[in-house]
Amino acid sequence: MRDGETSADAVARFVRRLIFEGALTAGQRLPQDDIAEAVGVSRIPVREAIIALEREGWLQVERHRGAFVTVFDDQAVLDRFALYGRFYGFAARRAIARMSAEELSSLGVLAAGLVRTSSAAAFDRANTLYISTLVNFSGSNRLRAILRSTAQIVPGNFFSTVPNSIAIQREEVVALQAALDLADAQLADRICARMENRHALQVIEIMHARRSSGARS
Amino acid sequence: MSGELRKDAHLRQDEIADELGVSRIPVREAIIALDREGWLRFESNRGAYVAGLERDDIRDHYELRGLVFGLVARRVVDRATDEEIAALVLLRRAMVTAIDNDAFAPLNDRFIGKLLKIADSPRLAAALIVTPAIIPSGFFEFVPTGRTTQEAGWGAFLKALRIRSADGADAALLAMLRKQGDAVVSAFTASGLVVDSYT
Repeated sequence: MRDGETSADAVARFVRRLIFEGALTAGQRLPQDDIAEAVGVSRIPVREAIIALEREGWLQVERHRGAFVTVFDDQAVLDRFALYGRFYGFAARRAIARMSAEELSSLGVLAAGLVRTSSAAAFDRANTLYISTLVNFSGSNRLRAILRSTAQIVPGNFFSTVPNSIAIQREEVVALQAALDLADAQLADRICARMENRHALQVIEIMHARRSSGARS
Repeated sequence: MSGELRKDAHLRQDEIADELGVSRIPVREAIIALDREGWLRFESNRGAYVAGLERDDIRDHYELRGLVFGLVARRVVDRATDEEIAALVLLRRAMVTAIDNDAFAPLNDRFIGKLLKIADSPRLAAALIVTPAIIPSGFFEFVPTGRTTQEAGWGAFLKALRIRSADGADAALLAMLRKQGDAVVSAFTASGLVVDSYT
């Protein structure tokens, strides 16, 4: 288990990976006992993880029958990133309306830091800081709540796992920051949508690669 | 939603379990779900607290719900067969002629159910679960303009769907949800349930 992670979080992370890599497939019933045993926890955190995973769209719970894996295909990846594009676009639009000049310039400093960073681990930290600051400056409690309930779909560090993702993110954050400086809400919205769609296309490629190598082994 | 639990109130899990006559496990599971939806803040070792509902929260909430519905609209434009479109048109006609809110509300739910079925996207459906309608029941009683807004919104959506305009369908549903958000703010303000926004 990672720092600050509950048993239920660890179970959820494990199940997401199984689905992403194709080890659990659409329509399959979640083997709760096997998962509890594999992660080394009791059934209670597995049940808690199922609630979270249902709200993220990975599972569908049918009363008295169990939890079933939903379809995770190219379209699911596109939908998921399109949602993020809209949520970040919303953050940018609200931030333009609500943030102060000081807040805007501190965001600019974070964007500049992101451009200078190249190792995946440092880039991930710098990016998380930029995005979470943008979300905070949007001043939206509802957005924060929704983003909490939509976890990462790619197992592990996104930027070391997904090819070209650092270059894409760097380009788009520079463009986004320019739109924020211009207070151009529509442009910022479009950039967020484009950024997430570009990531989605890369993620689809690695998902296919992992699934075909999994099928061979 | 009845206003019995105010912002920052501490949620007593034992009392809720007692009142409903259940054990603490389902209460804990409900709290996890409500934390994900943003109704509660769950702090480990400290318990669960009621999150506030402010004017901007309501507007943001409906805007976000509108953004998700807009994506659903795009997928429906992509995927709906002519028969499915005809069924949606019929259902909307039934909504317009429904004699009262009790007849209207289930038709409206059915319309949304059909959209989600056509869109066939567990992720978008899940996103609507985490951005639920704020008012759990009796929406159309609580929001007097709600029904007209909904009828007009579905009407504009169907018009765009018939000509397979993804942009039009997307924009129609976002506009509909924004309008509902404004109406919900007015209704909450009238009932004294909402506090002033922080901006």
